[in-house]
Amino acid sequence: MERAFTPLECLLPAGNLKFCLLILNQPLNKGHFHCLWNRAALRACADGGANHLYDITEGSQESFLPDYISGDFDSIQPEVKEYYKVKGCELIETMDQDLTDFTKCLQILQKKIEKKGLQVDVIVALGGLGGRFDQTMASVETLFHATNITPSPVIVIQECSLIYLLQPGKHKLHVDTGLEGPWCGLIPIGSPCESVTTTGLRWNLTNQVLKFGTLVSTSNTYDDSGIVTIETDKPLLWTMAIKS
Amino acid sequence: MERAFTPLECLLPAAALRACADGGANHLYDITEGSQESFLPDYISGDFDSIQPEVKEYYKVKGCELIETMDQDLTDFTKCLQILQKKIEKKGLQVDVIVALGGLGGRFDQTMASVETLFHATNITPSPVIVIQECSLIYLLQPGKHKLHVDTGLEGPWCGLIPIGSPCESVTTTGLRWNLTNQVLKFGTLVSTSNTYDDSGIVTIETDKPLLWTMAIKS
Repeated sequence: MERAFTPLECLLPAGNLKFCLLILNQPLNKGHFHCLWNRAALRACADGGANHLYDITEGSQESFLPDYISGDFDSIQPEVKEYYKVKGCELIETMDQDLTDFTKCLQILQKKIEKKGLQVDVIVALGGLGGRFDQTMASVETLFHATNITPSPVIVIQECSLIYLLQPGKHKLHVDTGLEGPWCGLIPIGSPCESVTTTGLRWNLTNQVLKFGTLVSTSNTYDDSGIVTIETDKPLLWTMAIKS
Repeated sequence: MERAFTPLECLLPAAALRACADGGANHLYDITEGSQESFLPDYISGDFDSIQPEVKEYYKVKGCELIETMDQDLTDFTKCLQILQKKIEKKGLQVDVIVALGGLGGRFDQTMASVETLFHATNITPSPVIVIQECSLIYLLQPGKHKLHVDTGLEGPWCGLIPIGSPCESVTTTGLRWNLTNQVLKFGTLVSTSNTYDDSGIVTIETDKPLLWTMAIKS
């Protein structure tokens, strides 16, 4: 069974894609934000993500209220927390220290999706790939846990980068939205992949080992087909450029 | 045998050799605007698809060595490191650490390429290699025991241990706020992020597989 997906579909201005938006604790790209906010079915902030939302919507915060803000609240500024609380946003404190704010936010999101009976094509997390290296890695860790939290694909976007964790099996990625940037890659981040086969890339793989210290696919790009297929025996992180 | 190391010691003294990997020369040129002549690298290497022509010409005229490396299977960073090690051996230099500036921001695939270079570095040079950008540092710990001195005063508030590449079956630490004892570190199970230090000024780590150490640099 092949899983088909169009990673950058959420950034297309038109269309019927049903998605939810999570804002993580990183500087927000205005272009991505405004493209995604209005069409999201549910919108949430993970802790300090609320600070960035508050800043980027300066002057009209009232028109950009999240459905909830969750986390251990050690990053959100007190005045920002108070503002959204007064405006009626749900504040959900999550004290579990073994899970990141992002993971916990995703758990809550899935519960709300189920409670409301929403159909969701993808969950989009904004931020999470810049700044602190440990937090970038924590975002990747959340993608590993996401498999057990939600059946919806979860993607993380920041600036010009997108990441998406491919589970073992066959995948078909549509890369013809027109928003694809010039590079892409396949990163065996958690464990070596013994056998990876691709089509649609400039440098394809055929039953190849992908492993840190042996081979990692970076600075790859596309052929003209508009489709990339990937078959992998282990979880494999797909990463691609978003046109600026 | 325990390997002792002070990750941030390099932020203090002067460099014995200085190089740019391809487009790194553009950033060097920009940041030294007005006094580029006082900041000439010993060499610039790469496939030269990123360096701006006028920047390349400037350093060439000033006598910097330009080394073109066409191998497409290795990154500019890896190739630059190979050349560096040859020069270190040729000059008979004693080198305590190799510091790479940049490599952790912007494109996610290039951040991962920097990590990949650290894996190859083990076979290229006996010197520790660290990568620094903005407030982050990364350093690949080989299997075995390590003792990190984290008392330079330049350490920022966070650190972490990332099992990039493969799970670690047994990791034991001291000196961290949240220590590990024969613990598995594995993506999807446990990854140590947003950790911090106790007051000892020393972190020890014992690992059975390569494990990426990351820490904050005070801004």
